[in-house]
Amino acid sequence: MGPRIVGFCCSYCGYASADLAGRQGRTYSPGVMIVRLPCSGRIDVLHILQAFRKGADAVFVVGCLEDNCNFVNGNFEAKKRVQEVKDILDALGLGAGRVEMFNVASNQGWRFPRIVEEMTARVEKLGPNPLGVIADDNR
Amino acid sequence: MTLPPGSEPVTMSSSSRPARTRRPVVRGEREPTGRIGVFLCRCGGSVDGRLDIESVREKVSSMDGVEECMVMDFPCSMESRETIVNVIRENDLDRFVVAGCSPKAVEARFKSTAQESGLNPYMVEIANIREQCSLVHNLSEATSKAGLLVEAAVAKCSLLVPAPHHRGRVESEEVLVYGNGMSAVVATDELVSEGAKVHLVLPFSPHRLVFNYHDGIRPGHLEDMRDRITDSDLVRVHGHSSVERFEGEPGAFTALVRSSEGAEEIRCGAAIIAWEASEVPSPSLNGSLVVTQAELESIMDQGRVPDRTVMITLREEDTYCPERITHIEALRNAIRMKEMDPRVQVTIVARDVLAFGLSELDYREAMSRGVSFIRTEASPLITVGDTVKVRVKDLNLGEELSIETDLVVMSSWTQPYDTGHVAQVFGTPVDREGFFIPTQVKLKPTASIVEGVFLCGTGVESKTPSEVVLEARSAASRAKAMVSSKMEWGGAVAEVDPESCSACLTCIRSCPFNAPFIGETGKAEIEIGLCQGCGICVGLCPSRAIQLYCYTDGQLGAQIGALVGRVR
Repeated sequence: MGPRIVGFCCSYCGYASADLAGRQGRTYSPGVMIVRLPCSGRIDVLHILQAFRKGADAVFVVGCLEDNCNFVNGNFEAKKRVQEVKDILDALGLGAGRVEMFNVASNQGWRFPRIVEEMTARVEKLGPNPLGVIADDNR
Repeated sequence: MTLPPGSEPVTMSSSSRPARTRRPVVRGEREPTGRIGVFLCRCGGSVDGRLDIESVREKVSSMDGVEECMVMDFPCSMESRETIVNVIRENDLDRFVVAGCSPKAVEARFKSTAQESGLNPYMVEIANIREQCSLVHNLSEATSKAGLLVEAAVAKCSLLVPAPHHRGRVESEEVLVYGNGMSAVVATDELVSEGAKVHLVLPFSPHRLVFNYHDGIRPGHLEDMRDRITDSDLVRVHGHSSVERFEGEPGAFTALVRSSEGAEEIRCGAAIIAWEASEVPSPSLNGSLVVTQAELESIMDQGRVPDRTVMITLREEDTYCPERITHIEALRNAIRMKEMDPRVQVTIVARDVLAFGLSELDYREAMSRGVSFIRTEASPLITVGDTVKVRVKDLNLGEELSIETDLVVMSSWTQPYDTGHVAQVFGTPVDREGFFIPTQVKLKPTASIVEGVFLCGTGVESKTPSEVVLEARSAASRAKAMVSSKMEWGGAVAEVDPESCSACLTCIRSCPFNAPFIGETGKAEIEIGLCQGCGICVGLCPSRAIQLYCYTDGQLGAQIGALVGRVR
């Protein structure tokens, strides 16, 4: 099914753009699993790290366009937390590129598959998540 | 937007609203049993056929806690929802998962289904196996992904807890309008025509309300409106007053209104801040040869038109300038001058003519009547002697021009000066220039950050008089709709665990909606009526004392675990 990628999407824009991509029949890798959040500001460093520990090869967070967040500044909060995770991943040697923050509008269905493409390309470059093997062995 | 003369937007009075015919049945909520029902949707071939729904059913029905797993044609249809209610009652289920369309499309329906079957409306989880699965992947991929998505939904669903929610009448149906001009009058008039009781708080006497006419509003119209509302039984005018304190939650606000005669507490269900900006005094006006657009209008009212006129619609860089409004004004006056005497020369100096909507027609007409336009970047240099000379760099020619003229007309600007205090009292932020910041211009027009407080008028953004009328009416309708409907709050709201809270104020500082406060016990609490459920405070809380219902760390962790923690 391709690399395991988790997408945390805010309900207003990220999730809506994924829905729109679906209705428009824009295909993307089936390894992408979307977790719906009320706002990208709900994302916690914990959730992203949990996904990596369970074996996700990459994680992306999608919020509304900057200055256009339904909850005023949730997407800026998310951006800060994604940066924190990047620092942690670098320190662990997993590669900061495995996590990224994106800002899309709900009417940009075309952007969702591009985000998936981008993250898939990054996983191809960085290789699968080494923790994934451990996570699978422990099961 | 410009309206044709004398016309006004159609308003919907309360009497013409259709009555609600169907009322949802709400009974006492049941005790949790942990028994889960799963309803898979075929969706008329857009799910079934694109993935193997039967194999998903087999996979899911063996999961822990799943008591009932059935495939339905359209679970969102009325008949199927009745079936779901029966299945929930017969199997004593206390939560359920629906797999099908996007939750954005169907969540509200299944919440009411849950309520009809006696469950908490937030004990439902939706797995999106259509938009994000069957429509974008091939059959085998979609089948295995749908299995994971439904399993993750079941994993999350098994950890759902009944969310607090409340539905009741508002405590006060009165609306507070705090304003200083046209939008306050229009908003009050709209509220009165919809039958709402209004407290109109003005910083001065109502007779000092003056209005600016053009742009299609019939002269005298607003004065009539002012007299109508000051005479109305539904309106209480608090002249020479200001709002000193404003607190509470939507449907039950308390405002302290202070006037020279003393202070008074007012109960209201919603509030409208209808603030008008005032004119910025132009720094460089020099005698009778350099005038403002308003002064030009009074010159034209006397029947005089100068032979040569230059209109300057831009200011030094980095200073605030609502160019759209100044351009609409300049175009209108330029056309009027050409109508009075087609031989006069009129030049408009602009950065870029921003005349959109119907004022684009004015731009065309001005062009066809021979008004010339000079495009420039920097503010022109004006020298006043016997005549006036304007030196301006024309971007199209790439050359410096020196234009001799009889009159220079400068555009004037409006800016709200005294909004800081209002903003502080109501908890709605203002920007650097003093304009109120609306939350979501497109999704929630006229809404402010504070739920139940609406914004309108030129204190939000410079606009033309007809736009002010439209916006004030919109704010009034939304406020009236709010106080006359049943207030619903709850669901995905944040809650503080007082045991863990260290009262560090992080949530209070980070919340965009002013929902958290320090309660009587010295711990943070969250005002459920103000919480919008974004969850920003949850991730920031250093003591991890806050959880967001429907999206707790445990629920999200279970969902993430089910989605990625599988050997594929």
